[in-house]
Amino acid sequence: MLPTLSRNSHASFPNSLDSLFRSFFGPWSDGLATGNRVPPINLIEEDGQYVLEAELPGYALADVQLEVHGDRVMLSGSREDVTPESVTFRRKERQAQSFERHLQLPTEVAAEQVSACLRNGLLRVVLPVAAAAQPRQITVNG
Amino acid sequence: MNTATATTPTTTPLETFSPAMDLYETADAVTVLVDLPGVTSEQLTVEFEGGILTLNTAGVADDRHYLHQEFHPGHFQRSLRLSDNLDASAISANLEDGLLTLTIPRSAASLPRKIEIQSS
Repeated sequence: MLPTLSRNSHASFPNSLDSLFRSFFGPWSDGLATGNRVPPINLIEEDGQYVLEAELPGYALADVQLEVHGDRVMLSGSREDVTPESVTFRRKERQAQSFERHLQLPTEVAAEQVSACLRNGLLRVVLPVAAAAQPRQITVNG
Repeated sequence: MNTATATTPTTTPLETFSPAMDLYETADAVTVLVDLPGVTSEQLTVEFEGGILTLNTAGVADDRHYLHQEFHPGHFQRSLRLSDNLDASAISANLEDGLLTLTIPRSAASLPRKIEIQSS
């Protein structure tokens, strides 16, 4: 069982504005807090690892960048604008053509073992928990 | 969106969500772009009945352990009333990288016509 996100996990951040957003969004402080429209994400615990999903319709793999450092993940991308010029929009709901999200995971992950695939506009990133962050059984000698 | 969801692993209900859509007009057609991430052409149905175009995706229920959830993969539904001057029988649909593009041509009767003026 992996540690779950806790309300206390943001307590160490000194910036009061950051803390305010963190209290709304948990430890997920990123574009949501600045009012930018960003792709929605899910974080799932699966077989002792984290799975990060992001909705990236219209993005190709080459349009997406992913960086992992310890327990931090940075996901960014930009997609081609397929709209021809000089057309009349009746609806415009789809979000901006570029985004950046910064996420904090509950524990550190093994960055060198992270794998990602983008299929049908859905990104799936598998983040194995770092060995140092794995739960360990401690033998108690009586 | 909040930490309550992080500590409550539940089976995702079979809800549907309205996907984001752009709609623009050109001289001879209306183009609709719909974000359908994670959806394959086999999962998508596009129907037209009584002047209303309806998109539906057959998402599957999942019981994964969500630590944080902002979307339900693959559950979308959206309807759109088409103007009478569009030719619904000639709709073309293309789904690529989770982006659906529908092109609906204007009906021949609604296109501007040049009328010959005859001199007597």
